[in-house]
Amino acid sequence: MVRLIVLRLLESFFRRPLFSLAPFVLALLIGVGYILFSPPEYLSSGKIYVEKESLLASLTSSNSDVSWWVTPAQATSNEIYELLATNTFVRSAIQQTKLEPLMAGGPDVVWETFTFFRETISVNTLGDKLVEIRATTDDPELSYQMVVATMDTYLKWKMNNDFQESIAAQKFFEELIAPYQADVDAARQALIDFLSANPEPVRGERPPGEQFQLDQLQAALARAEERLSAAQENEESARLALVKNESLIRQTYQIIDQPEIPLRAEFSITGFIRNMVIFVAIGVFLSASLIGGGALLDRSLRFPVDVQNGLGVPLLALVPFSKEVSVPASTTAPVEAEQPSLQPQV
Amino acid sequence: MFGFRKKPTSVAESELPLTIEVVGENLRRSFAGSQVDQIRRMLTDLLVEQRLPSRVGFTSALRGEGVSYITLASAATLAHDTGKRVCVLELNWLHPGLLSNLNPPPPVSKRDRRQAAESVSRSLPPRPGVAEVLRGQASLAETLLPTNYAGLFLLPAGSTTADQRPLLARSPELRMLLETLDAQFDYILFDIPAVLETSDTLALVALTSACALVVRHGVTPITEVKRALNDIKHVPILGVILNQAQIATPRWIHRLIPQE
Repeated sequence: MVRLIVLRLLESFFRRPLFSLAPFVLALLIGVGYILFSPPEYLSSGKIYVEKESLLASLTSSNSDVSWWVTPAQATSNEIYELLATNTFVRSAIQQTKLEPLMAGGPDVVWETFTFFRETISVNTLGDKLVEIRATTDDPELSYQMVVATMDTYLKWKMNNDFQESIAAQKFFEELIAPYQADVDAARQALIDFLSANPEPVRGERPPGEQFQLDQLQAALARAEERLSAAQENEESARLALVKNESLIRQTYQIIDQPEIPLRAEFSITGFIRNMVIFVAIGVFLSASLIGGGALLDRSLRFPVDVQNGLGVPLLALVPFSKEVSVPASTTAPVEAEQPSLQPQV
Repeated sequence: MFGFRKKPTSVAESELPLTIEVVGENLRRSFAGSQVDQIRRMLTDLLVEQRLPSRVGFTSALRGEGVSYITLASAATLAHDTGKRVCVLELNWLHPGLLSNLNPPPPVSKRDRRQAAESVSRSLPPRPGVAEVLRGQASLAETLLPTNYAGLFLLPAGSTTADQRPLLARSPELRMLLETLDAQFDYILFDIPAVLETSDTLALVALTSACALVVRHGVTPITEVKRALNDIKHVPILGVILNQAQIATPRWIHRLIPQE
């Protein structure tokens, strides 16, 4: 059976070799044409160094969000990809590029621009702590803008993400301090007034009622001071966190290579090979389909094994095709054949 | 180590062409040596295995498979190689092709080939044949055409009307004619119309001792061949002859494919 299939496939090919190879050659030509005539592409890239083990970070243990089996570069790369999946991030990045006018278009245009942005940006990890952000377009300036916008938006997002919490806390405690201070002042003033009105007796102790009132005023002042002190401490903590976070972000994410406007079109041998392999694969697939289809649809008898397998009768002869043999006319007198017979003599 | 034999060192005698020619007529046909070689192998196998009966029918599933051609080539080879008396009996009244095969049309384009063959067939003068013998309008001696091989005679179908064809195919006169031919010839090779073309074939096939089915290589669907074989299963089937074979795959590739 295998032999029959192989024979039929080969026959299907050799019967019309040019026709069978046509899709392959065509795909090859289209591939070459595609590569030659496709617009030049410009690559811009920038590199961010991710240092999670900064001094401040290690002291404050603020970077515990990264698991030990994921490198900082991988974590950052994943985070950028996740952010690229969000419309908000992409939208704020597009704001910094020349794609911004497209945002005024319809929903389809916006969606296509978002998709274009997402497909154009690629994030690669280079080692454990280096992240490369690349953009390849047919416009060198746009490539540059897209990389810059992605990096800036990411870093701003990182800062804003922790800033917001610290600022809110600081603001909250700041607002508490003033009323608490007023409370303290009021309690102190009440105590002073009481002591002025009721000075310490020259001899003996204060009457019990007076002493009780004094104790109350002193306790109220202590409570107010304690509350004020706590609010001030919290406000200081929030302020420290803000400073610490800014410092942490600056130390953690350092832009090592600033993106530049590419001056020359990118020729990627990998891309060239990839494109050619794709077209060759398509050509091979089409040619193979043609050959296979031809063999599959051919329900005629072509080989002795066809007759034996398909009909179950012996093949007597495989008479080859031949054009008319031109033999000069001979005498038409019958010739007596005197040859030994193969027929068994009965 | 990798030596290939590019060409045969000499032309074998068996690959020489054979020519059949009707005595006194401008009717002749040559068969290529490669074709003769295949048919010679077939006949030799059948003779050696004693499977070649005296009445051999050649038919096909569909029209245009080359039955007349193969019948003539087989008869010429048999007569040439054995010296026996051989008669080619054409019973294809529907599309007689025996004589038109002996008067091959000039090479024309593939599209016009059938048309040219039919025009050649029409241009041949009407000649008495089996139909006339069966109707008593001609004698057997008048209709038998001698050839350049002493033992080889041709008996064309003759002409008949459509309504007479079934009668002739099933007539006792035909059986009597066959008995007469049996007495005169060692082998009678029947040229029978296509099985799926007319039911007369079933009656005609029954007159033979065994049948060979001519199938056009790479053209005739296997389903039609199976149908034809099923229809004529009432007679022994010698086998299948693949005609006009053109295997495109190079022979050296065939040798590389392991045999099962």
